Amino acid sequence: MIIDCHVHLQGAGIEQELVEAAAALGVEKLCCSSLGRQWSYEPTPDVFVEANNDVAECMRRYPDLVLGFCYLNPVYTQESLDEMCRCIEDLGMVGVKLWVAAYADDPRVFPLIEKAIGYGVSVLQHAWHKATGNLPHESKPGHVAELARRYPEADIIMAHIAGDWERGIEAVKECPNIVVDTSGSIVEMGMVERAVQELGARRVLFGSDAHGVDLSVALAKILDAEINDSDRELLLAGNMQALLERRRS
Amino acid sequence: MIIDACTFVGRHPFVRSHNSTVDDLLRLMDKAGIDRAAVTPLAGAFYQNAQETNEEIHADIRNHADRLMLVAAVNPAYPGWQEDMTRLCDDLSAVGIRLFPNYHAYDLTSPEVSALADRAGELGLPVFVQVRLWDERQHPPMCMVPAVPVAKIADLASAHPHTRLALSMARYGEITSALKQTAGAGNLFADIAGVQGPTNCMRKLIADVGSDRLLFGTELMLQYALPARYKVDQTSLSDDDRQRLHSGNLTRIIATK
Repeated sequence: MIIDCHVHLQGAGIEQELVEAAAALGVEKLCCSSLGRQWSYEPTPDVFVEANNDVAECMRRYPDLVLGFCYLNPVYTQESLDEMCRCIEDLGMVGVKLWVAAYADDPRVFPLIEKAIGYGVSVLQHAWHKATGNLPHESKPGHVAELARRYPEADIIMAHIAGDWERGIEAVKECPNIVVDTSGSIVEMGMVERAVQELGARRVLFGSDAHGVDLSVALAKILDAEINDSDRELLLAGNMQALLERRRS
Repeated sequence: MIIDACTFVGRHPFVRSHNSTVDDLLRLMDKAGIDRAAVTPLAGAFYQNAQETNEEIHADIRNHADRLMLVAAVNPAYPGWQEDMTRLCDDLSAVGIRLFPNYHAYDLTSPEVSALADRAGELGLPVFVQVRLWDERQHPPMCMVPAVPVAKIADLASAHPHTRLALSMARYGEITSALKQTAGAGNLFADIAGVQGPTNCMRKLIADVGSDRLLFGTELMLQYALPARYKVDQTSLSDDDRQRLHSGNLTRIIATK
């Protein structure tokens, strides 16, 4: 069993070739969110509702493969709360995706986190520390750590190990309710090993960031990492499986 | 046979690495099923006198001549590079040279680079131009180095049709742009070390630019090796395309020496 915790739709759906690649590589579950048919940094409710409807359609089309994460914009707090309710309760989604509309520790995020805690679902929070400069409200790992300290009962997935993985690992090391995912185009040697060494294997998840990143590339960096096989199994499936089992019915 | 067009030995001055020696490289090549590799001293990007770094690793590489080939670091903005080129060919058995324009702070339109391209062509040495060492978003604050504009590399290739050049660590879009710009001349190549997407990236890249100017490359020991293997081996390519990527194209451009 391999679970990819970080996949985005391409336009309104999933390319058939990603479905085929997943099958060929033994990836049995794709945790999918949509960032909008045209990627939107600050989606209006119309945009994130449409995005989530697209994910729901993929869940219907590939019921054994796709798990849905609902995309929200904390700036539209009430609309996002209503949408989370619709996605989790009615559409059967299993997580929340937050991107770059607001910093992770923005107070407008707090009600969403409290609701996610109530549902027992994970929050996949984008983060990156960019030497070249971040987007206006793009979270750095410190923002995610701050959120995690405020809500120690929340299950937070910090995406991409925050890009600058050495910095990202250090920033969230003392936040046990943050797990990191390995998604993204960075394939720097040592990133997976360092995450496992510093955070423990139970706090690291395999993710790809497909379609933008080749699924085979993302998987290969986990397979290439010099970690033991039992830890590798945790990264590839066990840890995400454990998070999914926390969802309250 | 799989030949890696882009590997480094040595340490980056600002980044910790557990793997840096020739022995480390050979172990990682074995692990990834890579038979041979073109190797450049990483310090060649940081020393002004890049030739010193070639001298430093030459003995280690020579002891593994069946597997490792020197692609020497050259800095045309530093005095003496002309003599260095001769020594690289005559004494160090270099099979190519690697330029780091934005680490050594020169422009590809400078007269020195033009002279170097001519000389490399005479010697039959392919010129690998390092577009980036790694993603600019990851650079240490005291060592932020912009990527080399690939259009300038394409212009250099167009101006020197008898010299073979290669983009190293270029992105998907950079490769398609530069190789299309030089489609007629056909003397510009690209390694795939910097291509990490999209889904089925190699099949799409070959559909865009063909397979006859792409080179297998990992960027060991800065990057994992297996992602490069997987993106070539886990996608539907013809046997001919795969063979060109794995070794055929690189063998073709270094065989003129």
